[in-house]
Amino acid sequence: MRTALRRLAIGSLLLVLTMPLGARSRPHYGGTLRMELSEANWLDNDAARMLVLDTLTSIDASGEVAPWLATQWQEQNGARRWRLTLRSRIAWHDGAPLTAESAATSLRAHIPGTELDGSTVRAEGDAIVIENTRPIALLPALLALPRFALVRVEQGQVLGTGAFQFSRVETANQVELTANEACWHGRPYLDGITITAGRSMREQWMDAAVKSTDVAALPAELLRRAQQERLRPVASANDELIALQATAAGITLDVRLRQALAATVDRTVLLSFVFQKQGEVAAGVLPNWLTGYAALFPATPDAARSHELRMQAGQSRAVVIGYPPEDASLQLVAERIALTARDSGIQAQASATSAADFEVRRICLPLPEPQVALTAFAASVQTPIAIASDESEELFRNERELLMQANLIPLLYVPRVYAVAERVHGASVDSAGRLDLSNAWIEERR
Amino acid sequence: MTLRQKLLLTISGLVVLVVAAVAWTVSMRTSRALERIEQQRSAALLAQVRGEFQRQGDAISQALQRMAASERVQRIAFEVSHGGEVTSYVPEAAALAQEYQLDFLELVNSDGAILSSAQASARFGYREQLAAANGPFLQGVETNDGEALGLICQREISQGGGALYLVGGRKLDAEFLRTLPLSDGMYVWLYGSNKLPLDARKMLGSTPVAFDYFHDILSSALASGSEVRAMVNISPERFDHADVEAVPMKNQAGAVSAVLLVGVSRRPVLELLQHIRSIAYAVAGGGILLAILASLWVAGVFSRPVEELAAAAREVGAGNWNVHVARRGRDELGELAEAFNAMTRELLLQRERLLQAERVAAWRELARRLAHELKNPLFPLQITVENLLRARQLPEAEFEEVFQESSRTLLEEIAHLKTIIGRFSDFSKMPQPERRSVHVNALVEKVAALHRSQMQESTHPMTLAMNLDPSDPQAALDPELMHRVLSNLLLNALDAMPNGGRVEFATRATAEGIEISVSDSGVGLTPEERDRLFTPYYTSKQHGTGLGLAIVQSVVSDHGGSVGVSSEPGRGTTFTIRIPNAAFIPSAPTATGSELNTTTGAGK
Repeated sequence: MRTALRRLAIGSLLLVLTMPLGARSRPHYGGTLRMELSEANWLDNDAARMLVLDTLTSIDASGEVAPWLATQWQEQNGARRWRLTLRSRIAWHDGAPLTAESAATSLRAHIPGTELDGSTVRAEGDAIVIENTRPIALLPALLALPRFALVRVEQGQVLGTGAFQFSRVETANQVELTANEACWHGRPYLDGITITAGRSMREQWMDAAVKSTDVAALPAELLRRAQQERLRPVASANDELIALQATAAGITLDVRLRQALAATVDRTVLLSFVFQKQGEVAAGVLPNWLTGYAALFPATPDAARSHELRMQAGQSRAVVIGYPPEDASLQLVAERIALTARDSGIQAQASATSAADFEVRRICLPLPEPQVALTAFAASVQTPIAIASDESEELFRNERELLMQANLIPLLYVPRVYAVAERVHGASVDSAGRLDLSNAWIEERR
Repeated sequence: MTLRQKLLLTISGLVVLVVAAVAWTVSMRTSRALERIEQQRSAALLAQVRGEFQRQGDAISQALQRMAASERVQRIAFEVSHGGEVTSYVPEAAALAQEYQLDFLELVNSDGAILSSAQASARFGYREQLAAANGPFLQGVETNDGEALGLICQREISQGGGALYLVGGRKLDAEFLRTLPLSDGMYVWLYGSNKLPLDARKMLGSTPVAFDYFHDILSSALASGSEVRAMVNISPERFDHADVEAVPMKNQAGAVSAVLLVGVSRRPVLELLQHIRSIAYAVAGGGILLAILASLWVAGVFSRPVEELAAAAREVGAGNWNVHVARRGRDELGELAEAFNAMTRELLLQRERLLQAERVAAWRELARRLAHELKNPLFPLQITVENLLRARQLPEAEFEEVFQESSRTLLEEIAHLKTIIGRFSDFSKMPQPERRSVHVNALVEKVAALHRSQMQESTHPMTLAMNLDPSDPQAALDPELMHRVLSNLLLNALDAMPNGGRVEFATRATAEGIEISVSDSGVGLTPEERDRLFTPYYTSKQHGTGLGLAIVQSVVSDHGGSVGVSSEPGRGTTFTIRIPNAAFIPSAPTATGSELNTTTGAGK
């Protein structure tokens, strides 16, 4: 009996003691999250952008297009005309109702230069009508891209319909967001988010290490180290393409010299040493896990072919391979490519100068729809394409042509990695590869 | 060249040679001594630089040792040795190099594969040739910015069955060279390549220099692989030379990987040498000046008696025998002076005797001539007087006739006697010439015109030819006396042609003066006659006084000129008067005709 009582007492005590722990591990409202971005303008970061803004459609967990601000849509005239019905009783952050007219106005401002270029947008009752002379079969999926999120700018303030609203500018590169109490899909747990833009990856890594930020973007190669440092890394799928793209000066080089350079690249070494095997080798635009045919693009170095092409082309000056000066990983990639090129007899040098023949760059692929990803990618490299069907052959043909037209040498696919502080819960990566903080909450301090 | 000048040149030359020889010897010995000092300085600097290299190498080695002992590197070594992921250490080398203050660092596994490189971050996976020794050694290092030269050490960390190698070092660049403790005038350069052609960009130095100056010494050092020493200009400035020693630096494989150049400025030495030379030049110049003055004095001492003797000899040669040379000292020159004085005394005595003899001879000749001249008229006088005395015995009428005849004869002979006495009187009273500017051709023409009628009236044909200088020269002459001279010569010519002939007047302007010649085609003169021709009172003619040519010579001599004669028996005679430039006046348009009114010309 005494033993039973003792056990009961101990059990009760443990229950009392573990109750706060349980409370701390349950989602709750409050707290301000600190977030750092590489981009100079916070609105250029998709994750930050989507905290404030909403798109008409979304991609659900299964990768399918789902309603968001638009509740339904109809395809007319062979996908040349689309009619999207807006969700009712939705307000902008300033309280103004989201009307079809205001949504169309916002959408029209984003269309030029994008996949929807040439489309007309007009309000029709509670619906938005988008028309184009060419079929846009992927329109619902495209409208899920952050760049087509609805936004208004009033008196210098960014207004959206998202879970957070723009509050104020703290400093030149720091803004403060507060929770949108009237958010149509519910108030977020967080009271606010402080966003610091323009921080390099190295600075973000150091800030995360000393816990002066809650969320930081990390180079993929630091994923393992972040785990060792007791940060909680969150990684997307391999949706970031690292590629070598010819600039205007590089296009003037002999095509055989460009091909000779491409044949010297040892992608496996780059993946192993630079990115610590975080990612996969890329020879095409889209990753193999998305298309299944990436193996058709040659990805291994071919010294003999490179030598042959170089001898045919000749070379009058050194090829300059540029890289973003703030990105140490891409600098290392550029230097390695230049080094292996020199070993193969091609005069090459890496430089942070803007007057380069090739640039190593990161291109984020919008997932998970391959057609959308390729279309969006084509727009991002200023080589728009139109995919007539969702057949793999059509996709492959477009991708191959895109590679040739865009003078692109794909190198690797790497994940996007975010270091999330231990006190932050609920942060995840959505099916489009974006960091999703809409359900994030902060653990209470003991 | 005078004796004094020869003596001066000889003594001065000897002094200059001696001074130059001494100066050269001093300069050479000084240069060699300074060169030895420079070599010692250069060797000391080289030893100092090598010591500094060794010290730097030791510092690198110690840094690698500390690094190898660190927990971080030990962990890497352990992971690498135990099959850990070799791709995980790419950023490690850069961080370690920064922490241990190294410019170069590579982590290399036992296979020689680079795991991480601080200086060439992209060289991961490349194979590195590991050194047999730990160093330090010089090595060309590939970096992100190109090839660089490094002072490299190596350290092995053995863990279990494997090993990790730390290959680290410091960059040898201009900054490194500037850290070397160099004193003023010492330089260190490093040529960080062993490839030809030479590349100026590979030259590092404590002092910027024009690379072209080092081309030869670098080429020699790289070609030979051994130390080369040379004098190198380090700037276009005059004294900016350096005594440079090029030392090929070899890597761990024994190949030349760089050339260390150690230079010691020659500026202080050259300035010192220049200073010494300046002093030497000043001393030599002063010595030479003193030597010249001394040689002037010495030459004067030796040459003055000789010059006095020469001057006295010239005086004697000019006819002034009454010359005395002072005797200076009792040496050979003194004896020479004494002998000269004795000679002139003897000459004077002999001339006096000769003059007396000539005077007596002249008086005898004068007496003979006078006797001869006076005897001729005296004889008719004597005969006439004797006839007159005998005529006293004749009747009155006849006596009267004889008296009248005798009186006339007596008067004529007395007149003849007076004429003879007058001629002698004129010769004794020959006046000094009064010179004026005279057109010589006109003077000759005038004399010719005066006698042309006489020649035409001669029973034998005589011609007078004129060969006058077309430049119509002028001369400062006494026209009256010269008229008399030319008349005498013309009359002599006429007398020399009793059977007729040809007489020619010729004038010619020469560089020395004016020449007037009178030539005849007469009987000519024997050598004996020619020798006595100008002797007063000598004549070859039956009725001559022997004063004509004496007057000619006297007048010409008074004009500073001379009279020459050339003749051979039967081939005529030519008298040539030469009046020197002192009496010669170039042709002037104002002088015309025989009336000579101008007074310009040579002195009177």
